[in-house]
Amino acid sequence: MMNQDLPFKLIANCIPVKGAKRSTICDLTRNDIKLIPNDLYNILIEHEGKSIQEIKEIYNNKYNEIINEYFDFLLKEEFIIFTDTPELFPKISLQWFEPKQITHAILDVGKNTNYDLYKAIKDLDDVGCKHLEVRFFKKVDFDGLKNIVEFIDSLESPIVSIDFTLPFHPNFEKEKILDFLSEHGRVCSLRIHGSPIKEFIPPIDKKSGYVIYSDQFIKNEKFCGVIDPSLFSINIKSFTESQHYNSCLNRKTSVDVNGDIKNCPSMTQSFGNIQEISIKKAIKNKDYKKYWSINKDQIDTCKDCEFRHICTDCRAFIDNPDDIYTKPLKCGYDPYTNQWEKWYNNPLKEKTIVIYKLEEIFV
Amino acid sequence: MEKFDDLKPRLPLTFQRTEIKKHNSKIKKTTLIAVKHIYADGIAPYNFYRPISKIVSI
Repeated sequence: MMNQDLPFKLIANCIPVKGAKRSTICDLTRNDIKLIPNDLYNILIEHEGKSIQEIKEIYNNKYNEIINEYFDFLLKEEFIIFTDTPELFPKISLQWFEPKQITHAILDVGKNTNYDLYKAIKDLDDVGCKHLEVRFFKKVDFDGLKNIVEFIDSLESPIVSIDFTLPFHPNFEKEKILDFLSEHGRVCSLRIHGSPIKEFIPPIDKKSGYVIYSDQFIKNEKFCGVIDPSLFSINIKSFTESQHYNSCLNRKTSVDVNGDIKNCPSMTQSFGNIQEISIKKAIKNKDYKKYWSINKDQIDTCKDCEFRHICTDCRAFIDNPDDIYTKPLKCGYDPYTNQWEKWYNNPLKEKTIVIYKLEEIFV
Repeated sequence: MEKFDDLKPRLPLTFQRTEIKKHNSKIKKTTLIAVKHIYADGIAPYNFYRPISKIVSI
């Protein structure tokens, strides 16, 4: 209930982030965000711990109606409490710590791939990798997926989630997929591209993985790096990581379709081939971690974006390939106008699309 | 065996000091924008840590 005379306190895991024209409140427990005006952001930052009455007086009682509306909104969304002991509700720490050398990995499999996928998985096991995505750019059936999951099970691997990205196969009926997900708890998602239908099947009872049937045709790694609200990550782990590190490449490794170990399959620099060198050795290269500490506060345009700490960046395709601190090429959001446009319709990006040879993704 | 109450977090003996700023009545604001004028919409969350690749979107 609204109390005009008690100090208000923002719930600690609801964190405001200021953008150029508007702000967000990131609700890290409910995995949700709300957009707010920058004026409300300023009130939350400058006047937390004061009562509504005091705030109204600060603004000479000129904006009482709007301030009431702000607090109605904050209460309705359960972002604040009123308390006479605000000192008992300290801020949460935004530090981030991860004991594993590698947390995320991508293994790409194409038509001409001949590296040993199981050797790569063993290597990931050695570095303590927790989250794995296997992307197929060629047809694969259920047995292919099962073999991978069962191999990981047999290793008693620290990999806790496996995402599969694969082309549509007529065998992938919904019932079969749901059975597969319920049988294999490690499988977090199946993203099926080139599908005749477009559908999202959320996790059943929040226990199993989810399924995306997408009508996009994905031929290779050049299709990656898309910045889209459906790929935002709103949770305390990625939010705190994003404060200090790159939200795409930090603690990530990958093996591209040729077996080359890279930061990301879409990047050009290789740190050796998986058939000749272990992932553990490759990541010791002095250049391997050069992107890890580029956070969103250092990137042009992104640093003014209200979504910067829930957006999972891309450093493989950027607006200016000669400047590593430019925004992701495949981002169509402008934080100065708050408009989402199709990124490839922007004439300023045409030259860069040619440099990266991305024309094929529009065919 | 410990009872449930024994496991509850205890309040610190000294209260933590919050960073409450002093009132500044000289703040000049010309306008405030109402929440309802901001386009607010629910965004599909990826709530399992973060997407590893950004190749398929919903």
